[in-house]
Amino acid sequence: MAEKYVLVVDDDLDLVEAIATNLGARGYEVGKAYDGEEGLESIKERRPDLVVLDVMMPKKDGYQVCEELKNSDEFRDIPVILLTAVGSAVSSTSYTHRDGMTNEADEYVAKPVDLDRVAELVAELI
Amino acid sequence: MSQTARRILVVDDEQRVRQAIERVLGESGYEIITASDGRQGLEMVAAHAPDLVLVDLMMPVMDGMEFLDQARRRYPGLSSVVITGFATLDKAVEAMKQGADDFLAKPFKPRELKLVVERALKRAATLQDISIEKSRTRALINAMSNGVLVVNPDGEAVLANPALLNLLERKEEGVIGQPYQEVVPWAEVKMCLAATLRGEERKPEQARCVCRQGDDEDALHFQVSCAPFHDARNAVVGAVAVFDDVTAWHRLDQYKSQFVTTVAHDIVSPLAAVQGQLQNLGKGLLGPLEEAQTVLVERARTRLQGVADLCRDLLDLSKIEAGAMGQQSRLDLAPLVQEALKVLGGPAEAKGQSLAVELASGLPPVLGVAEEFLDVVLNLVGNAIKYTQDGGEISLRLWAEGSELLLEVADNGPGIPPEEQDAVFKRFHRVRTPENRHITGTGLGLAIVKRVVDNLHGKLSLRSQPGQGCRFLVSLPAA
Repeated sequence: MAEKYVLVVDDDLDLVEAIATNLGARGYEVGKAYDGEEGLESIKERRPDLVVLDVMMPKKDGYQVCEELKNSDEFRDIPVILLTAVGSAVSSTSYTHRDGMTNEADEYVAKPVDLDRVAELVAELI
Repeated sequence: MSQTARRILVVDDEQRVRQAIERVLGESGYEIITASDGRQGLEMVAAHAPDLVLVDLMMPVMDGMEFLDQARRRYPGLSSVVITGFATLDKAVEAMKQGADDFLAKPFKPRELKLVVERALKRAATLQDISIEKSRTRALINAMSNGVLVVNPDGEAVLANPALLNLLERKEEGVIGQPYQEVVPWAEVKMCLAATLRGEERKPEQARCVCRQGDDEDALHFQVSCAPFHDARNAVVGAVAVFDDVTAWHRLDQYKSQFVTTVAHDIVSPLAAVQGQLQNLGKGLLGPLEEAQTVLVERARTRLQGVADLCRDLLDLSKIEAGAMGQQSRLDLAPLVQEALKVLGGPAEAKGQSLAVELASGLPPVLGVAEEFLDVVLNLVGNAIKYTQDGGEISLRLWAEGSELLLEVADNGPGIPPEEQDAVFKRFHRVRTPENRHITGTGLGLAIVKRVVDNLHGKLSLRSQPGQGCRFLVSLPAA
């Protein structure tokens, strides 16, 4: 079976690198994009098995990208892990994330992210 | 009151009477000046400004009535006592209707004269005091930079100072006599005044409200305090609303919140990247590490997590203070508690602690912001887990009593010494003991809890004995 392909979209180069290293070490093939638009283009170019998506990004933020994916018949099935904004202790509960979101991501991880947690969720969702 | 002798003008055509009065009142320390007819009397009033005039009604040249009429027209505050014979008592009554303070019927005894004069002077002094006090109060209110609105028991405006008129962009004529509902455009202020006029017993902080003039960035913000006026029987006879311009504070607060948010974001983003890299490094994904190196990398991660936690708490606090945490709504607390417990179950389990939860059913809602209430539960239970020993017992109870909802979070941990129990709610205060030295914390958790409970008009209390655990009790008014 071919390697699973995960796309990581975040404007922080170092964080993208860190997530890529971690997932790479676990046998995933990792693609990288650095803003929302680039992320969407990359998805259209090569369909990933899962997307790790940052919320706060230039051009298109993570919520917008997620909504576009979940509204599209073609990409609706791709699991999305959203890296939520820094801040509220509550952002580690699902309550606030659902609030105001029409199309939910599949999982949420609050920044600063625990890479092992991300890897666990990737394994669960793929 | 001045120490100089009171000056009394006696206007009477009979020299005998003038002399008698002069003698009697002179003994009592008054300064007496005299005139033999009305015309001369008017000249004396103009020249000597007496404190009181005693005037005979029956006089040649100009009689007492006409004298009084002219004198009062020129000196509206002039005090006077008319002297009259029994035959002209009705004239005396007439004179008093015209504004004389009292009358004295001839013949009179010295004691009667002194009594009437004393009474008239006392009344004059009182009237003057009231007039000075009125003018002083008026000047004070008009000079204030705070807007002041006074309403009568019917809610009609009886006083609006220039600062308020300026704020309302209205003229005094268009405001006085109008119902306050038409004078002030702000619903908050109307409610506050209505409650004050109804005589509702209120805590000082509840007789206050905040209102805003304008919608854009230049909006003015006011803190409005309302207070009732009472009569001698303690009935409400009106209310005052004082408008305090807090725009500058409000702006500062916004700048502070923006600043904290920006700083916290800009710190946490690189922190997240570095933490991720350290995690990879620690796992040996970039090559194997010596044991000492692994320990160091783990320690570095822990310390960075501390900074991240601090940023999170600072952000939370600034959001709560700015009212930017979320929308206020009627909250059903039990599901929110369960939501928070989903996050907390893991850490409690990891320490082998039991977490007993008792949620009453059918609880009334509370008016508040869901995210803020979640923060209360997360911080209280999070602290209990953090500071209670492995295998400890933690409990959470939610129930209603009367019109209040009660949330209790208790543990059987080390407790908090009595002298620290007030301080724990202050920002950055942490109870330091040799036992908890290894526990990291931001010192903001309970400050956040306190702030949220205050926002919800609730009460927060702590009961603890060293060695016997802690019990935090939050009571919130039902919506």
